Amino acid sequence: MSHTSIDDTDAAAEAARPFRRALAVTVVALVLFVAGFAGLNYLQGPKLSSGSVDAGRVVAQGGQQLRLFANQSIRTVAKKHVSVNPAVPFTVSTSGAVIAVQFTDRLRYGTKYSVRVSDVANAFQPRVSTFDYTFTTAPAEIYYLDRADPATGPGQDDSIIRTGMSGNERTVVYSAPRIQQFVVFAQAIAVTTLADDGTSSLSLVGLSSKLVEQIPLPGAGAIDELQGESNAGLLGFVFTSAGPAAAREFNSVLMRIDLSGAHTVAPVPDLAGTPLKALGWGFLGGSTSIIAQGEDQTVLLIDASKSAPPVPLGQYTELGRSSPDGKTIVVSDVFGKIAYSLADGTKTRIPSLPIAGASTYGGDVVLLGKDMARVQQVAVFDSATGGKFQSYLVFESGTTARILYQTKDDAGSIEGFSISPNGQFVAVNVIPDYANSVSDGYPVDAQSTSIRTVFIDIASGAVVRSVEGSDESW
Amino acid sequence: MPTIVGLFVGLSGIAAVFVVRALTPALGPWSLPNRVQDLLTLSISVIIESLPFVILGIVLSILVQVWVPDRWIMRILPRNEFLRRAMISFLGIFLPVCECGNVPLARGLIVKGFTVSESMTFLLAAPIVNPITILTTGQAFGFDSWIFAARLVGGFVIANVIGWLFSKHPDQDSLLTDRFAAECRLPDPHEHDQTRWQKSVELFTRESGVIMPALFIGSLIAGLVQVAVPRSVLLSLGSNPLWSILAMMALAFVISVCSNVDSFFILPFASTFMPGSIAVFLVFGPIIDIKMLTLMRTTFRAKVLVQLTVIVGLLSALIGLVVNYLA
Amino acid sequence: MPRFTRWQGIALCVAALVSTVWLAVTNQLILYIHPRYIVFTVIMTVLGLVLVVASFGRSPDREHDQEHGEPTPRGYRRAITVAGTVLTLVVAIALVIVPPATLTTATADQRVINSTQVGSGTKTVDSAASAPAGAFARFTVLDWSSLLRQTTDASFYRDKAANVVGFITKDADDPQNVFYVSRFVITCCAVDAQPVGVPVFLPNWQNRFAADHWVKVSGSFESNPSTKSQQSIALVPTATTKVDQPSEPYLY
Repeated sequence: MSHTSIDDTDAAAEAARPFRRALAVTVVALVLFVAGFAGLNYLQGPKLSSGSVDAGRVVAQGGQQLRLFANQSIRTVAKKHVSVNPAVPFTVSTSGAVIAVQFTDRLRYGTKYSVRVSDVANAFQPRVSTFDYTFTTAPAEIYYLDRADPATGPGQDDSIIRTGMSGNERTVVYSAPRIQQFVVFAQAIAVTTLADDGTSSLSLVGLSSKLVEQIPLPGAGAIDELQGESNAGLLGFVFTSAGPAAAREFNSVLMRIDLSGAHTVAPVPDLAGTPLKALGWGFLGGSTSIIAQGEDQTVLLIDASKSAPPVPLGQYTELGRSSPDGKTIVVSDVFGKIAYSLADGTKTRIPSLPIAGASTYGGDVVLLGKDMARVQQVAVFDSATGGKFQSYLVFESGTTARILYQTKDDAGSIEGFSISPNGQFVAVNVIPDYANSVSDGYPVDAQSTSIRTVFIDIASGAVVRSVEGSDESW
Repeated sequence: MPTIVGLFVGLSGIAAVFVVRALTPALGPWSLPNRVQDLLTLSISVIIESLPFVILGIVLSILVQVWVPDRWIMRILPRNEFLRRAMISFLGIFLPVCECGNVPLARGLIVKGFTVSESMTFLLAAPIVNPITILTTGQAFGFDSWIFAARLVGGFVIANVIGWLFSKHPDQDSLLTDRFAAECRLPDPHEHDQTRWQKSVELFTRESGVIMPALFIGSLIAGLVQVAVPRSVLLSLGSNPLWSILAMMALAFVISVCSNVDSFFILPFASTFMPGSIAVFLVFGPIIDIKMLTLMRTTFRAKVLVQLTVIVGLLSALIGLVVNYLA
Repeated sequence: MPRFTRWQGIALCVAALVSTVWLAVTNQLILYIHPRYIVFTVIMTVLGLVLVVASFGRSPDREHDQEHGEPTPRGYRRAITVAGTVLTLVVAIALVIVPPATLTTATADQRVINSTQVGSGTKTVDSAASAPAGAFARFTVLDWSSLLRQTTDASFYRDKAANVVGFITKDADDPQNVFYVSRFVITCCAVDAQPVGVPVFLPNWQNRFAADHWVKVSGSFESNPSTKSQQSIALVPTATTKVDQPSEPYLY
């Protein structure tokens, strides 16, 4: 090894010193930074990165979830650490980094909900944190039918109108002569219209496309009791063939159409497998099940999505309406109205509670789903006014009744009512001045020309909206 | 006439390989044990996936070395070394090759006159700062996400820090393997009696001789590690803010997937792993993985690669920790 | 450059390029890479082959590359070099003679079935809920497994008949009665394959099938009758038949 080569090595080492120093400084600085941020991370609890909830679905269906995404996997969250304001029933589940808050019932329209989850912990870290999330549910959207007044001249169209609970905005979504009934689906509305000879036709009108599809009926005839289940895409109605009663192919037969499949009309079979002649029927809220009463007064539970035979629930004098959550139906026997729980078959009599000491006669009733709370139309015999019946819409819960609506000066008539799917509002169809009411003269489903629909918040009893028309669809 | 003979022998060779390839599946049932079969499938899949990019890289490298006029690239670059490296970081936008194709290209750039540290800057930045990667990352995670920002900024910063650091080295050639340094130092002996086409073919032969064995070895090791290390070990670490970062670096190192598509690969893990660790995967993976290290070993000394790995690892970890802390 | 290295590079190119061309011609490239890369791969492969052929045309006696050579390595370095060369050749030979195959249950087990979360582009509960009844028959293992990871609400699966094809992987908790009908999902190439699977409840399935068999399972989703399995919902088959491996074994 020569002297010069040592010098060379030394010189090279000397020259490389800045590089080595830079390298060492960089590595040390990076190690320090990494350690610092590792410490900060260690001391930081989990964070809420995002939340998702379908503001529209959450008012339309029960069992919807708010999903809160943490930035890391977290320990299972106990229900006691979750609060929802305004208070609603819910369940909580945790999976990985996601907390799912499932709302048992439908939420209120256009309402701001705050959800707070406390004591959220990561399995590895000492810190816990609190997640706050707020969301506002979709406002109510109502469709109703405003029929043209024949007094203003012939040939005018009836209109289906969309509106909200607040403001005066009204949008005509479809107009046609002599609209009989309609049902709103997610993408389309099903409309029945009347021909001059009293026969019905059924069409599907696209909500955005406005395309009209005529649905062929099983012959000429009249449609009545048109109802739909928007989530399942099912439509049903009672069909009666035209012509003399003895020669009719179908007489008050319940028909169904699956709008998610081929749009063909098929009769719903009864226990014997023959077309069911229905005295009354309805969808169970949020499901594919139909509840119907046959000609022999047997109430049947039918799954409209498959061909399984119907389940008989017994014979009753009348079939009432089902609760918005589809878990309870109302039937009547000779002694009065009964709440029939479909879950366990228990039956509870529905009393008609007195109003201001006066005894009442119960009419149509809808159970709201919890503790027999219900909205009922009642009549009170008013001896003071010379033996007239007065009609009220009342909210009944436990042993108390609260009047939701009565017509002005008791001059009007409550023609019907419906409950919003989330049980928040009741829509009352009223004829304000019954004595001077004029019928529009339609051969089926004739209606007063002065009919109005009043929307009432059940909890507060406040009238929130009033429109000219009826046949509201939520 | 050795040219004709060579051509004949070569073409018969290709034909023979093709015939063998076409006949072997018919030679009865092959029943390799599952693990061996999967090792082969995985390794071959890495080779087949990388091959077009390697060829593209070699072709671009040939273009840069033989067809682009001398000093053409050098002239448009600023003199200031920081600006110059910053600009070089964006070269990937015009030469969109993913990381495996970048190795031959970076070699070509050194031959063309880039300093070793400048070429390193290109090698590290180009796989991340290039249109395809930007697009796929944005599509996968959203153009306004932390992960997207961390990846782009991180890739740029890492490449420039490394470039700055190694530019301090007084003897740039000593960063290179002896063989490659020698190649760069000597002027091509055929400089004057070769056409450009001949030179191109010559370069292709030379580069494939260096890159292909490295690709094969890298793919084999990548396949081996994948068959050997259970994924559940990595996944169980996913939710810890510190371990998840190391786990993702390990995954990136092992999986050796191309930077153009790694966003889609890692997307399904995004809900299990914290965003910072996903960012680490996307920053560390294109620069350091098994396949890349074997490929880079054709050009850089082992010691340089160790220094590179340590610093890139620390920088990526830092980026991940910052994202985890802030996001 | 040593003559050998030069020859090795070209030989490896030939092995890889010819295999790629053959795989492309026989439509088996999808066993290794995502279909969207096929066109690019084929173009670059053809370009590569052209360059390889061109390199044959160069007369080897004009080589002066030896001048550039690094000193011949000695000792362990030499051993590593030789071992490396042997390994590359083994891979190259495997590339040429071993028939192409899909990944097997070994990788599915090793990568943990359904370990990833639901990716983009898969079926969501919302989209599935509104899908027409006939669509469910066309849902793949990937669709169902993403749905199963999103919801275990048994009522959601009611009236949704499933009809899926995949290979059998054992369930770790109840290998006696439950298996997964599984597929690999590919984003780029086989390396990133993620196993997904749908649990199937078929008591004593080993009597008729073995792991790695490709089967077609028709049935409906029910609450998992198995008490040991951790899956709350399982496909209870009405028919399970052995089928050939499909020509596109991976899902994308």
